[in-house]
Amino acid sequence: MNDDQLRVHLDRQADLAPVPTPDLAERVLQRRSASRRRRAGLLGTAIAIVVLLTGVPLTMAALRPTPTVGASPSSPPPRAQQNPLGLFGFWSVDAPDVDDGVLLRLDSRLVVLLGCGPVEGQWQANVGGDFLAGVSSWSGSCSTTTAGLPWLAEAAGFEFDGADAVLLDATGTPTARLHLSAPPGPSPDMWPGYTEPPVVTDADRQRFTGNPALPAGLRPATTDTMIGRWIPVDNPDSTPFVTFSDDRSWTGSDGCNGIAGRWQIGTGGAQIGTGGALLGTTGAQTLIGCDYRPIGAWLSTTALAGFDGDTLVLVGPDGNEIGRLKAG
Amino acid sequence: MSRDSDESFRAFVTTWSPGLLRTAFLLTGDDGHAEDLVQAALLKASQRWRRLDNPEAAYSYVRTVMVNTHIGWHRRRRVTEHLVGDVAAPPPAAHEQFSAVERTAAALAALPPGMRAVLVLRYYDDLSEAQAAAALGCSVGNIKSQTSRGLDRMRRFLAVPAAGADEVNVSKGKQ
Repeated sequence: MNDDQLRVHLDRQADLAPVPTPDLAERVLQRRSASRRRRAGLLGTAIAIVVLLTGVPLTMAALRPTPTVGASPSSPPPRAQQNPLGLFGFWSVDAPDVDDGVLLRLDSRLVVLLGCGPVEGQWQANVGGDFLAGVSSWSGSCSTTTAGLPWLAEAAGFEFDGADAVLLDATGTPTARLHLSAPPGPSPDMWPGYTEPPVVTDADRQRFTGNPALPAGLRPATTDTMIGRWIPVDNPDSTPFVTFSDDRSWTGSDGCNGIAGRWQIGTGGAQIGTGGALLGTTGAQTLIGCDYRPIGAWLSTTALAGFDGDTLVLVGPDGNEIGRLKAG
Repeated sequence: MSRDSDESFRAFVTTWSPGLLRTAFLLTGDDGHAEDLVQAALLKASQRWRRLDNPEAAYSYVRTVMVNTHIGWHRRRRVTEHLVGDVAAPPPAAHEQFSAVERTAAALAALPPGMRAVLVLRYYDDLSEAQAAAALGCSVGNIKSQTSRGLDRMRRFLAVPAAGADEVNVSKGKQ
């Protein structure tokens, strides 16, 4: 074999190499973040050991991160910056009263594969570590709602712990530990979209990692200032509205179709521009035509909410305004 | 990394990972190990991304990390996989049906990882002796000797004629 023949053969052999997975970069960045957190954890452990050995009266306040902009004394502790795209994948769910074998599949939508069949819905998350999920449909004998999956219903945030992801409630208490899992494989009784490995698209990157600042002049919305009934500023002939309740649910209409979902003001604070992070999910609706306003689409694509005077302004992950609402 | 660095890292991975994976596949001879190797090397690169100021430098760095990591894995000889089921035996005549490319792959796989890396860098990535020496952190003389010995071993491995391997006659190094 001469040199040229070896080159040809190596080229042809290299043609048999696998192609990179589309989410390779995200996987690497996620592993890097996990590695840094482990190092930070080791540092914390080292400090604790030093404190134990030396008796230096350090308080936990000295180890706590500097408060973020907009944090109030009653706010939950700020979360570290996260990459929501790291949640894309299949996860086995480790939570109270959850059967073995339950899988959570996250990509642009949410699917929970229960023993009784798949449950589908929406989820939102942002780089501030906020998380919100809602169930909108089910099949098989799984007649459950979001409330029937408390580990999901109570989740308001997320973080990574090594290869695991942890869902956290509003106080920072874990509601579920998610272990990365292999896809379940095709099933003759299930739509292939439920069992295929998730793929990160450019739209997903925009939606989940967009980190816009609230436009100048807007005051960040808070939970208290959002609760109530709102109608579009350019009130059409139909009667679209949305009512935000204090249990993180909303109900409304696009003008001729009733609709409901979940909402949450994030606690990401400084990680989300200037505050006012808003996460929303929406459920199924009828498709009666009229002079409508896409209330559901507005809420499921909003990244930030702020006030221009008394007007509630919804802003998308690209920083562009989505819609304006007034009290009504 | 800042957001800008993250974006440039993503762009690098998108553009260069297919080539890195091909090199990794030649180094390891296995899909899964090749993917692990690329991911491990990219992880190291991501941790010093700010200092890798252009894609070519980054590519060279990642390739070097891949080679060294692969050699390190081989040295440690860690058992990382356990087969828990029965594996079907290959068909008895499989060896005789090897194509020339498959025989080359087998000959390459039979080399020690360092020697294999030298041949891959020299004859697949088309690095000069000096560039290969820089990538592997050794002398040009070492590259020359490893190349010579590697080719000699491959020729001897391939000198056993395979029935049906009429795509190329590899005996005695001549076509």
